[in-house]
Parts: sequence; C-alpha cells; structure tokens
Amino acid sequence: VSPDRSTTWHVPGAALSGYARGDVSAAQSWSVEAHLEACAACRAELTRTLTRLAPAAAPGSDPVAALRLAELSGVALASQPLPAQAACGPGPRPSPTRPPPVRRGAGAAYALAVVLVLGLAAVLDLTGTGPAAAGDPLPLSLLLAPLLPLLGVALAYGPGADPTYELVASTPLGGLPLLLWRTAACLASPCPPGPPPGS
Amino acid sequence: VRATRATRRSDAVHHRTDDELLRAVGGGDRAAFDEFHRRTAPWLALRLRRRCRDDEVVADVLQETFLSVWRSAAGYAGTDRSGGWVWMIASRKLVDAYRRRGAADSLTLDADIERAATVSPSAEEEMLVNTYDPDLATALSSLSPELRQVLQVTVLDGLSTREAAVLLGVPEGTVKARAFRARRSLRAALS
Repeated sequence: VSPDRSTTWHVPGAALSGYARGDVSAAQSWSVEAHLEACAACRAELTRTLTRLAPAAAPGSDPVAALRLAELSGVALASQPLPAQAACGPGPRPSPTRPPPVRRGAGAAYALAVVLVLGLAAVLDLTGTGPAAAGDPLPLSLLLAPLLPLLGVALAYGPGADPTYELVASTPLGGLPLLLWRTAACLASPCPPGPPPGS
Repeated sequence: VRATRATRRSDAVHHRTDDELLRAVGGGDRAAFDEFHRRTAPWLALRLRRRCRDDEVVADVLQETFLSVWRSAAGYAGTDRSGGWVWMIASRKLVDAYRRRGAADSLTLDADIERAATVSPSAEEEMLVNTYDPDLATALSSLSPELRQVLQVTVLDGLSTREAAVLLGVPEGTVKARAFRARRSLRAALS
C-alpha cells in the first residue's frame, strides 16, 4: 500500500455512516475496514460519525475507564517486570516519568493497623491473668493467633484495596491458595536469612 | 484538579499523529495514552463487534488490547501503521478470548448474509457497492458463508490458519480446505 494512496482516496461519507450503523454489505465493510487500518483521517471521521449517531453510547468514550485502565496497568507493570527488561538488566528499568504508584489511604491503613495491634495488645495484657498454670484451658487468643495474619493479608488484597483484584480473582490460583502463599511470604520476610541466633 | 490537568495536557497531544502518540505512550505518557484510546477505541470496538456478538467479550478484548498497547507501545517502530498494529493485537486477543471460552457460537461473521436474506438492497446501497470493485463485490457475495468467513479471518484480519481455526471453531484442515476453495471460486468469478 503506497502512502499517498491512503491520503488521496477516502471512504465516502455515506459508506462510512453505513458502516457505523452496521448497515453495509460484506464487500463494502471489507474495503472500509482495510482502508481504516491505513488511514488516520478516515478513522477520525468514523469516530465523529459514531459520536454523532449515539453521543451517549459511543464506545470507549469514557475517559475514566481509560484512566483506571492505565492505573491498573501501571500497578501491574510495577509488580511484575517484563521478561525482556528482566533479561537486559538486574532489575526493572527505572522509569522517571512513572513513579511506582502508591495507593491513596495506604498511610491511613498503616496507622490504623499500628493502633489496632498496640491497642489489642494492651487490652489483652490488662485483661489477661498472667502466665497460665498447668491444667488451665488455653486462652482464646493463642488459638486464634495463627489465623490473624491470614485476615490481614486477605484485607490488604481485598476488592477495595487491590486494583488488580478482579484480574487475580479470575486466575486458577486466585482465592485461598494465593492467600496462603501471600501470607507465607509475609511471614517469611521478617525471618533472618541465616541460622537462628543461639539456642 | 486531576481531571482539568489531564484535559489541558490532552489538548497539547490533540494535534499529534497516532505514531507520535504511540511513541509518547512507549515513554509512559498517560495523556498520550488517553488521547490514543479516545481515537482508537471507537473503530476498534465497532470492528470487534462485527466479529463477536457478545458485548462482554468485546469489552474484555478491548481492555486487554489497550493494556497490551500500554505495555508494548515502546516496541512500535512503524510509520503510519498504528491502525494495523493495534488491530493485530486486538485480533490476537479476540482469538485468545475464544480459546479461553472454548465457545465459537456467538461469532457474527455471517450476520451480513442473514441480513441480505431478509432485506433487499436499496438503490443507494447498490450504488455504494458499485463505488467499490463491483466484480469483487458480486464474487464475494456469491461465496458461501463458510468460505467467506475463512477469507475474512485469514485475508482481511490477517490471522494464521491455527488462529482462524480457534475463532471459527473448526479443525485447521477444514480452514485450509475452505481457504483454498474460496480462493479458487473467487478466481473463477473474477476471470
């Protein structure tokens, strides 16, 4: 396809609006589609025709969707570097124009978590009865303690907090298995890499 | 405040060509991405909708396509080929969607034929068809729906035989045989 062919010939207006309405023969829609691929002017004209036909229902005209989409992809990029980038250097390519996205409210959530943990510890300390004697029933908090990290991780990656929640939930590993893996990773991170100090 | 800033920035990208926009998107420019999405999404959605009856699938494919554009725009190095480049991504994503669902019953490749059977073409439509190659138009419309589907998917949409097989829900051998028969009957009609 020579470049000046796409600039000298354009889809007739009637054919374009017919295509926008879905009201054309197969041969005509073929030629319209083949030309649209190569001609930016006709693509723009088609967009104008579409918005004229259905101003409210023009597909993809919602800038919020695009914004959310870009935000979503920004998070996905930051969390998993592309294979090509991983092969080229030691880490993901630093992008000065796109800082790693920080969720709004992350600071508030962090402060809330700190307050809750400290407050709960204080309450348990005040209401506790000191070291358990032999034969005493186990305190409830000891029984529930192993489950608490799961709760925290589940909330941190919940529908409201994680922008990729829908994506992840649709994967085969999503749900409980992924929750367990994430919790394991969280619990493993504070462990010292070497052998346990002294014994 | 964010919205107004985005609007003002998109005014600046308003006059750039699609190629310039894609290069900016490759550098992580969000305003350029918004503008490219605004320009591209309508015709892409229209073309996808002509191939897939399920609006939900079309919306998914559209989202995944733009996600892919955002991630791989840095790899776009063409001149004046952004339309074909985006359609290549979108058609692959459509095939992926069908591969995942394993259902090919909502394709609308034969919608034109159904309509042609119920509505007789108007004089205006006849005239419009004649502005294109009339022989080709006649030859195309005389093809059986199965043969025309195969031609559309492989020739117009540029998919491989394997991808066409997924999209049409028939074995690869059938796609090859139909493509061969379609080309032969077109050649016979045009000579």
